[in-house]
Amino acid sequence: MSVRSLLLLLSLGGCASLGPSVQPSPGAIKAPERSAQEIANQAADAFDAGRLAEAQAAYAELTLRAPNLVAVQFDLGLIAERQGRLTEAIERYEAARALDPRHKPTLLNLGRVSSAAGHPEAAVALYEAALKLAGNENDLELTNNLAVAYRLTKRLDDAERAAQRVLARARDNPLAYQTLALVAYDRGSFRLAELLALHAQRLDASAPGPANTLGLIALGRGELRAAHAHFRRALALDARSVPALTNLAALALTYRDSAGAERVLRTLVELEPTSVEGLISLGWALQGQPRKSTEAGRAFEQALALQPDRVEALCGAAWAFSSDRASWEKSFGYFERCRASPRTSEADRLALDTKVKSLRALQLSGPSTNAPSPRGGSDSP
Amino acid sequence: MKALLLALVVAAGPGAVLKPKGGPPPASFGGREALRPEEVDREGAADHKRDEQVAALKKIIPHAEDGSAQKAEMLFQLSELYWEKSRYLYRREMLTFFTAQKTSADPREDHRESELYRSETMRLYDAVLREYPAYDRKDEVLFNLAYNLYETGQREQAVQRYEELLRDYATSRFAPDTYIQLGNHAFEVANSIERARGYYERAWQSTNPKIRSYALYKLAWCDFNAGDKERALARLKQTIEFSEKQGKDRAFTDLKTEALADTVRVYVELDRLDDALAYLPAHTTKKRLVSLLAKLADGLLAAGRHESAIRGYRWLLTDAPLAEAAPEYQQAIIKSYEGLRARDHVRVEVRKLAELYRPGSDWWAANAAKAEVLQAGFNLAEEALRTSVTEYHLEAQKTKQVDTYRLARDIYRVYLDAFASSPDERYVSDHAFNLKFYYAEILWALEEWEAAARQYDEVTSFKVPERPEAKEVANERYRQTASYDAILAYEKLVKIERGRLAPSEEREGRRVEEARNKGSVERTQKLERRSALQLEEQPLSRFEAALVGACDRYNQKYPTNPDEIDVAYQAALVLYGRNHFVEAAHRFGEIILKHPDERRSQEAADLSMAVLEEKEEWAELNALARALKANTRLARPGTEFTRRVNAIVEGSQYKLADEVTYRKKKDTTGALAQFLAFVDEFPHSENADRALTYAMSIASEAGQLDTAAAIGERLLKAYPQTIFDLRVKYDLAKLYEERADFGRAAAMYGDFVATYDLATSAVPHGAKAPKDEKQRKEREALVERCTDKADNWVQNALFNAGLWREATGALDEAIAIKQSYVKRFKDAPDAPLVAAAAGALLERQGKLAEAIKVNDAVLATFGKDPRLGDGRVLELRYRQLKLEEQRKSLPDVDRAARELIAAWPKLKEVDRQSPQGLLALAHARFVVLEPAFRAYQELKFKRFATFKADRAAKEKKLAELVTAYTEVIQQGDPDSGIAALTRIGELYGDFAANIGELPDPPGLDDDQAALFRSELESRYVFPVEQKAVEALEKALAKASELSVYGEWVLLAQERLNRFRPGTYGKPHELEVRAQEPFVSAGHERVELAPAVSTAGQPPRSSSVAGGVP
Repeated sequence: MSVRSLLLLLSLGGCASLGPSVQPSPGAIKAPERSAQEIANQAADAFDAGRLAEAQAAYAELTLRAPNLVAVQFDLGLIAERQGRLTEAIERYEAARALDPRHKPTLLNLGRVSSAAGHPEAAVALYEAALKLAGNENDLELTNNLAVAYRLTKRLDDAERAAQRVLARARDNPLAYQTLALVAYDRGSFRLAELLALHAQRLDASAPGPANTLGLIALGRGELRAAHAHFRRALALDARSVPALTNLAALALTYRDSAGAERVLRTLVELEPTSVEGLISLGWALQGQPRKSTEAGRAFEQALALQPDRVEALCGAAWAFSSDRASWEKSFGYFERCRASPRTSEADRLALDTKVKSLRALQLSGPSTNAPSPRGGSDSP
Repeated sequence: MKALLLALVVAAGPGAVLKPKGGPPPASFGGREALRPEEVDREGAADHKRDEQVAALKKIIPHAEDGSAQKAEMLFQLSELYWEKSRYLYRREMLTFFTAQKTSADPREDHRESELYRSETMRLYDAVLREYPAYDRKDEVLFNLAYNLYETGQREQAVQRYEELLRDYATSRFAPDTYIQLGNHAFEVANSIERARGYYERAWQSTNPKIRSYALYKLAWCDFNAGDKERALARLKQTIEFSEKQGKDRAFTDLKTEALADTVRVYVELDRLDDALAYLPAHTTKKRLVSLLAKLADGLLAAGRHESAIRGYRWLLTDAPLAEAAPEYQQAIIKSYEGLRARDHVRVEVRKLAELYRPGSDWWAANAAKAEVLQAGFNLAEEALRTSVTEYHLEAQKTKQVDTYRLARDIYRVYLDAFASSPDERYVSDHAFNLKFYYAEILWALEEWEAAARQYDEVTSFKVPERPEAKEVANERYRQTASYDAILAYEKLVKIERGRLAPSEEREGRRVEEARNKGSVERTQKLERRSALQLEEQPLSRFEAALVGACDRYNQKYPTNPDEIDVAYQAALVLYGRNHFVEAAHRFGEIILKHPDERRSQEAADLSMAVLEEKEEWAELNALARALKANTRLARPGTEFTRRVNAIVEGSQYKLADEVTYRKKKDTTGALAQFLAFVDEFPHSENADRALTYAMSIASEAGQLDTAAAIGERLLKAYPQTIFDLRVKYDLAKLYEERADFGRAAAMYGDFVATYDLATSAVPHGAKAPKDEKQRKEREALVERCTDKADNWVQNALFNAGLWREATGALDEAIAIKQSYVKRFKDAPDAPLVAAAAGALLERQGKLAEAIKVNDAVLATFGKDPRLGDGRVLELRYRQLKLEEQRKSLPDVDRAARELIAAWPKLKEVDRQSPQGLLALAHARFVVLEPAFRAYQELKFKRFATFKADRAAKEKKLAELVTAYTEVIQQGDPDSGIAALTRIGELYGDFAANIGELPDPPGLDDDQAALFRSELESRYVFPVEQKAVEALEKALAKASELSVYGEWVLLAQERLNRFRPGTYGKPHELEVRAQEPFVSAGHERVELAPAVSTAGQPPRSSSVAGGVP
C-alpha cells in the first residue's frame, strides 16, 4: 500500500474515531496547527539541506500524527544511519519493514546497515526472505545485495552464484563484477580479482569501489605504491569514500606514517564521527607525532564514549595522557582500566606498571617536569 | 308546402333511373355528416313538445264531433305530428346505428319505432280520407298518403292515390308535384319514356319554378334515353340556365349541379370535348369545372374516344400540373395511347408518368404533406409503368425482336430509377426486386454484359421492402440466380477484355433468344506453373476485380451451392493470372481444404505452397501446409504429397520464426519461443540445430544469459554433429565469460579451439559430414569465419582461454595456452605481450629461473619488435632485474641492472621519462651501487694507527656513494629515492658506528680511554650520526610526504630508532576495508495523499486537517 493510500485511510479513520474534541481553555491562544503535509515538507527540505537534526525532529513530530507511514520511518532510519546511529537506523528500518515488508528502499538499506553494524548474517536472512516474496524473485538489486551479504558472511560460493545470477540477467552490471572481484580477492585469487575489478571499473568509471578493490589487491601483492595510487583514485572519485580513507590510513599506520595517517583519519572521523576504529586510529596517528599526545587522548576518549570498554582506546588514552603532567591523574585511571582488561598481555601490564611507577615517582620528585613519553605506539598494547 | 318539399326531396335523385341512388325518405338527410348528435338532441326537445301536442290532441279529439271538419283537421294535425315524430325517430335510429358501427362489427338498422309512427300516420291519413270525404284538405292528405305508400313499397296503391288526386283535384296545388311523382314512376319503374315525358311536360306547365326546372331536367333525360342526345344536351343547358336565373336557392343550385354533371355524359356520347370546354367554364366554379372535365375525360376514355380523352386530360394537366390527381390523368393518357396502340407515345407518356410523379419530383414535393396522395401517386405511376414494361417484355419474348427488347429495357430502366431506388422503402415498389432481375435478364439477352453484370450484382444485394406484400411478391430465387449470372456476365467481360470473346455487335433486326441457356462458370482452365519471383504482381483489370468479387459474394452467400468449387477456382485463377500469387495460393488452399477429393485440389495445393514459398510468405505457407496436413483426405499417410506437405510445415515453421518473427518483426521474444517450439516439435529436423543456434543468439542478445547458455548446452548435447558447433561453442564460452563463470569459459574456449583444429585438420571428424552442398558451404564459411581478420574467433578464444586459466589459477595450462597462442599467432599485435605474460605466470609460480629464461627469450625474440615497444622492453628488463634480485644471484643482479642502465639511453624520451622508466632506471642505478655499499660497509677502522688513513679512505668512499645515491634520488623515482636516502643515512650511520668501534689506542688507562672515547664521539661520531639522522629523517619525511611505503621506510625507521630510540613504536594495524557494492536507497520524500476536498478549501490542508488528530 502506498504512502498516499495509507494516509488517506488514516485520515478517514482519524475522522471516524476522533470523538468529542477537547474544548480549548478560555483565553488560551494557540498558534494555528501545521498540517501534516507542511511538517513533511519541512522534514524533506531540512533533509535535502543536510539539516538532519531538524529533519529528524520534524519526522518525529509527523510520526506522532501518522505513525504508520513507511516513508517517514524509512527517512528516520536514513537520518540515524547518516548520523552514525546504526542501531537506531536498524530499528527504524525494521519499523518501516514491518509496515510494508516489500518496501524496497527499506530492504536495500536495512541489509546494508545490518552488515555495517556487524550483522551480515541478518542481511543474508533479510534478502533471502525478500527475494522469496512474489514478484521479487528476479529482482537484481536485492540479488546484488544478497551477494554482498553472502560475501560478508564468508559464504563466498553463494556470493559468487548470486552475483552470477545478476549477470545472467544484466550482463554489464558493475556491482556484480565488483562483488565477484571482492570474492576473488577474499579467495586470494588476485589476478581474477584484478580482472573483475578492472571490468567493473570499465563499466562504471565513476565508482570508487573498483579502484579501492584494486588497491586491496595491490596491497595483497605487496605492491604498495600501486595500492596507494588505487586508494587515492578511489578517494578522488568519491571524497567521502570511507573504505578508501580507511585503507590509506591503514597503509600509513602500517608504515608508521603518523602524519599521513592523521590527514586521512581526520577526514574519516568527520565522515563517520561514530567510527570507533577511526577515532582509535586517529589517536594512534596523533600519538605518533610530537606534541599531539593530548589531542590523541581526546580522540581515544571519544572512542571510549562510543565504546567504553574498548581496550585499545583505554590503553591509548592512558599513554597519551601520561605525556602531560597535568593529565597524569587522568592517565592513571586509564592505565588502571587498561591493565584490568583481559586482552592486555602480561608484558604490557609490566610496561604499564613501570610507567605508572615512574610517573608516581616523578609526581613525588617535582612539579614541573613532564615525563618523557615515547612517540608511536610501542608502549601501548 | 309539404308537397313541394317532397318534390324537392325527390329531386335530389332526378337521374335515379340512370343513376340509382339509395336513401329512404321520409326521413331524408344529406348523408351521415348531416346527422349530428347535438342536432338530434335538440330535436329531442322539440319531440318532447310534440308529444305534449300529441297528448293534447289525443285528449281533444275524442271530444270532437265525429264527422266534423274540426275533427278531420285535428286528425290530420295528429297525423302530421306523427309523421314528424317518425322523421325524428328515424334520425335517432340512424344515429344509434352509426354509433354502433364504431364499436360493433355488424350493427343492424332498427326502424321499428319510426315505422310504427309512420304506419300510424298513414292509418290516420286513411281514416281522414275514409271518414271525412268532404275534408277540404283531402288533396293534401291524398298526396301524403300516396307518397308514403310509394316510399313503403306499395307503389301501385301509391300510383292509384296520385291518379285519384289528379282526377279529383286537377287544380290542386299538389298536382304539379303529383305529375312529377308519376313521371318519375313512369321513367324509373314503368320504363315508359313517353308516359314520363307526358307527366313532365304537364309539370313544366306549372308556374312553380322549382317544379318547372325539375321537369325540364327530367325531360332532358327523356330525350337522352330516347336517343336524342342533342336535344337532351339542349334541355340540360336550358335547365342550367333556368336554374341560374332562379338565384341562390339550394334547390336550383343543386339541380344545376346535377345538370352540369349530366351534360358531361352527353358530351361524352356526342364526343364534344371542345363544346364542353367552351360551355362549362361559364357555368360553374373552377373547382367544379376540373371535376367535370375529369369526368368527361374519364368518360371519353371509357367510351374509347382516346384522342378526345387525351386532350381532356392534357387540359387538366396543363391547368394544374401538380394536382393530386395528376398521376391519374397521366395514367389515363397512357391508357388512351395504349387504346390507340401508339407505342411510341406510350413509351413517352410512361416515362413522363414515372418522371413527373416519382419520389423527388415537383409533384412529389407539392404533395409532400399528403402521404396518401403520394402513395396513391406512387402506386399509380408504378403500376402503370410496371404493367407497361411487363407487356413489352412479354411481347419481346414473343417476337424476339431486338427493338422490342430495347424498348422494354428502357422502360425497365425508367421503372427502376423511379420505383426501385428510393432510400425510403415506402417508395420502393413491391415489384422492384423482380423487375430489377427482369431488367438484368433483358440486358443479358441484349448481350450488354457490363450493364447486366451490374444489375445482377444489384439484384443480389437488393433489399426487399419490409412489407408482407413486398416479401410475398419478391421471388427470392432470383437472388441466387442473379448472383451466379453476375459471375457469368463478368466472365464474358473478362473474356472480351482478353480477346477470347468478340464484343456484341449492334445488329438491327437480330433475334434475341432470351431463353437461351447462359452456360456455367468455366471449368476447363488449366493452371500453368510460373515463377512467382520473376513475375511482378499486376493490378487486376476492372472486370477481373469485379469477377473475383462476384465469385466471392456468390460463395459467401450460397456456401453450399453446387458450383462452389468452380466459382472459387475461377476467382483464384483470375488472381493467379495477374500474378497475385499469395492471394491466389490462399484461395487455392481454401478450395483444397473444402474439396480435398477434387481433382484440382492437389495440383492447387502444390501450386499454392510453391507460390507462398517463392514469395516467402511463411506465415501463410505454414498455416496452409498445416491445414493440408491435418486434412487426412488430402494428405494420406505415406504418400509423396504428404511427405512434401510435412516438409513444408517444418520448413515454413522455421522460416516463420527466422525470417518473419525474428528478422522482419524484430520480435526477439516471439522468435525465441518459436525457435524453441520448433525444436520441440521437430527434434529431428535438419534445421533443429540451426533453430537452437538462433535461439541461443536471441536469448543472448536479449540479455537472458542463463537461457542462452542452457540452449547452447542443449544443442551441443542433443546435436553433437551439428555444423554450428564452432559458433555455439564460441558463443557459449562468451556467455560463460559474461556470466563470470570463468572456469567453464576457459574450458569452452579451449573446446572451441580444439573443434576448430579438428575441423581444419586433414580428417575433420568433429563436424557433421554435410549432407549437401549447401550445408558443406555453410560449414566451410563458418570455419572460415573462425579466423576472420577483423574478429578472429580462434585467436580470441585462445587468448581468452589463457586469460581465464590464468585468472582461475590454472597457471600451467595458462602458460601452455599463452605459449601456444604466441606460436600460433606470432604475428598478432599482442603476441610479444602474451609471450611476456607467460613469463610473468612462471614468476607467480615461483619458477624464477624459468621465468627469467622465458623473459630472455621474449627479449631476444621481440626486443626490437615495435609491437613490444621500448617501454615494455624496459619493463621486462626491470622484471628480469627483480627476478634476479629474488634469486639473490648478485652477479646476475648486477648484470641485469647494468643491462638496463645501458639500454635506458636508447629508449625514446617518452619511455625514459615515464614513471615506469624512471623507476626501472633509478632502481637499476640503486642496485648497481649495492656492491659498493657492501664494500663500504666492509671498510672498518680496526686500528688506531691506521685510523686516519682508513677514515680518509672511507670518507672518500662515503662521498662517492653519497654522490651516487644522490644521483639516484635525482632520478625522481620516489621508492628508489627513499631507498637511496636511507642508504645515505646508513652510510653515515655505518661510518659513525665504525668510528665508535675503533679500538682504543694501546696503553691508555681507563680515564684516558674514557676521555679518548668522549673526544672520539664528540669530534667524529656525533656529527656523523647527526648526518645519518638527518638523512633518515629526510627519507621518512619525504616518504610521508609522498606516501611512499615499503621496506625502505621501515628500514629507515629502524635505523632512526637506533639513534633516537622509541621514535617509532610498534606499528598499529587498521583493518583494510572493501567498498561494499550494496545498492542503497536515498531519501524518500513524504507525500501525503490529498483528501476529498470540501467546497472552497484547498485539498491538501483540508485532507490533513480533517484526517490527522
